[in-house]
Amino acid sequence: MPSIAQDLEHTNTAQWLCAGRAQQDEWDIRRSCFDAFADVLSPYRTARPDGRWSQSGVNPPGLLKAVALGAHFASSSVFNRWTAKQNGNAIKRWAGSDPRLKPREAFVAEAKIVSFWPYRQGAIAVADVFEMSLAEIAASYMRALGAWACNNPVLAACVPAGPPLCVAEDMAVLAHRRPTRLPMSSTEIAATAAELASLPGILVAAVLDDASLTPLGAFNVIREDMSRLLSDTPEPLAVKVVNILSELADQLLHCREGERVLTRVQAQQLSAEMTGVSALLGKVADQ
Amino acid sequence: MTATSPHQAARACPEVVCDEPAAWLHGAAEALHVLSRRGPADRLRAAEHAIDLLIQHAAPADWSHAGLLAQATPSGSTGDRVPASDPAVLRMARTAMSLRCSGDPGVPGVERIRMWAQMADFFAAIVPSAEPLLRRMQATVLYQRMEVGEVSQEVIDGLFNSYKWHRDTYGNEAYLTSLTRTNLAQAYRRRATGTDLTDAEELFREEIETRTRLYGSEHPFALVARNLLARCLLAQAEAADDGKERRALALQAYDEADSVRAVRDLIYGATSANAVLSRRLQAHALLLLGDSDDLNRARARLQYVLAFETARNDNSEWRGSGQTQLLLARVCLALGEHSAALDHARSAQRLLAVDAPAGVSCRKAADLVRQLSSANGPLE
Repeated sequence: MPSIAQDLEHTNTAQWLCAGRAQQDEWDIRRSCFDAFADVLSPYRTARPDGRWSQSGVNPPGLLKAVALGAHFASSSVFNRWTAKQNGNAIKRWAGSDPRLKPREAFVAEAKIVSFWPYRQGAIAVADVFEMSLAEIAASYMRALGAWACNNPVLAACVPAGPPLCVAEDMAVLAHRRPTRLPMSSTEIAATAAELASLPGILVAAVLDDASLTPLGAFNVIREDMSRLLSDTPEPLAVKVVNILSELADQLLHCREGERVLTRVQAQQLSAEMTGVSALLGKVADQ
Repeated sequence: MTATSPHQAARACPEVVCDEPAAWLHGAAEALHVLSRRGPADRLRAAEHAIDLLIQHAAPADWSHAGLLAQATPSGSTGDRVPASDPAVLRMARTAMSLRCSGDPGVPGVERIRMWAQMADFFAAIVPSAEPLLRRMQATVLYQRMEVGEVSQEVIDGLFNSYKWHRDTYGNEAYLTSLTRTNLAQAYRRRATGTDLTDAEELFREEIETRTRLYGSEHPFALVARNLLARCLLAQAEAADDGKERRALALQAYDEADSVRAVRDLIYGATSANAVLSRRLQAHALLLLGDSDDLNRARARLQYVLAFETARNDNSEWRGSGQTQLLLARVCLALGEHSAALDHARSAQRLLAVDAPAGVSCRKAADLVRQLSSANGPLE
């Protein structure tokens, strides 16, 4: 079975980037446009209302025209690369052929993806070397996203403000790997993926709201929800056992002087039974 | 160990050449930092990996001058390198240092301070003084000094300036302002002279109010501030001459720590480091309450804390258990169990001496050992 990191290397966006970069001349043109976009965005860096340093939404007027001007291309050349009609383009736009998605939005989506990609790749490479668990990979991914937003707040704030759109398919990969006792239906996986996909938006919004937020601080904003979504639904029997054991431990820890929670014989019996169950649990845990 | 690099990633998919190695390093540094929750061996391995990445991808520099290596750095591969002054390099270096210091149980506190200071000096020579990551490195040096019990006026002033800089730069409620304000409050608590403890309490309460308003009272960030307030109340209880006042403060501390523990049990699990720390604070409060019933409960909790601290450290004695051992020694002494108290006091002295041999806690442990040795006969 491929690792999670390997699955993340084969998403649609990963394949789109692979194919796109193979068209080197055309890719260079795209890079020039993204570089020009960065120049267009730079005057919008930071606002400071109410004593808090935050980044408000950015929506430069005539965006594609300004990009074309900065990259020294004709406006039509830039427009045609990101319009819904992709006939004859060496690199198809990432956003696909849905005509409802305007060229400007398709361009911004790609710019965010290309900018975020090396952060994502750095995190995945480390995850692979250290054979990270699902929870660790998810934390690494989100922290890398936080680092991207911290370093590129204006791009992240560019309307539609938020994370690169490719995070949704990455969240779907993570949702597929959620450990469960019973196989999840496609509807359940989709529901988990959809809930997971809402978290990157919350994380990026937190970074844009506070310029001093670190990637760890940003991840902490969503840590609990992420942990809940990537954990198995507790087995009712396991919950009962944990509750009873907690109660017993609590009584043993906090009993008053002279008070007896269990008789000596009861304690011995329980201890023997728990040793037996412990061996059985060990077998399940090692499976 | 060979590090996976942007260029190796490129080999896996020949078309994908990472042309943004600085951004790649940022992502890798974040992932490496996640490994700080693993055991010491993995943390050290992660630190080595981080150093390898610096050697391979940052502009040639002698990383031994940054406190990361004992010997001069071997030359790395040629090609496009990220300038040593790039924030990505600072981030990776900081990650490497943090993993190294937490992963190697043999690095004593004074050595950690020296290494962090070396790193801060290395980068101070090549990046602007206002670079936020440099500021954080410099603040870490001060924090480390405070951690080993050094709360000189220079340290307090440095922490105050760090807090002021972040407040002026980012605003009073910003995340880093919040962290630096808490560090300052902790320094006041540790110095504990004049009005320090009431100043610290005021700052902690301000912090709780801010974090609760921004994140909610049960958010992990708010819980940290609430736990720190409990520690501050315990310090006040320790310093109180009046028995009633001491008892009232200890009860307040117990309640605060207990409500934090309940939430942490739920979020992280009862055996997590955070929840275990809250239990240690409760045990400390029970020690100060001082009835025999309280003392027995304190001992049970501390034994539980010690067991999980050891388990988390790959089942080896953890140097951070010095405080737990010291509390156990005091509890045993209060219960009249001198022999057990002496054992715990000796362990506490040995463990606390690793990080802060001149610190208040280590001195307390040494005093206890002396007091108990004379009561128990000569030391073997």
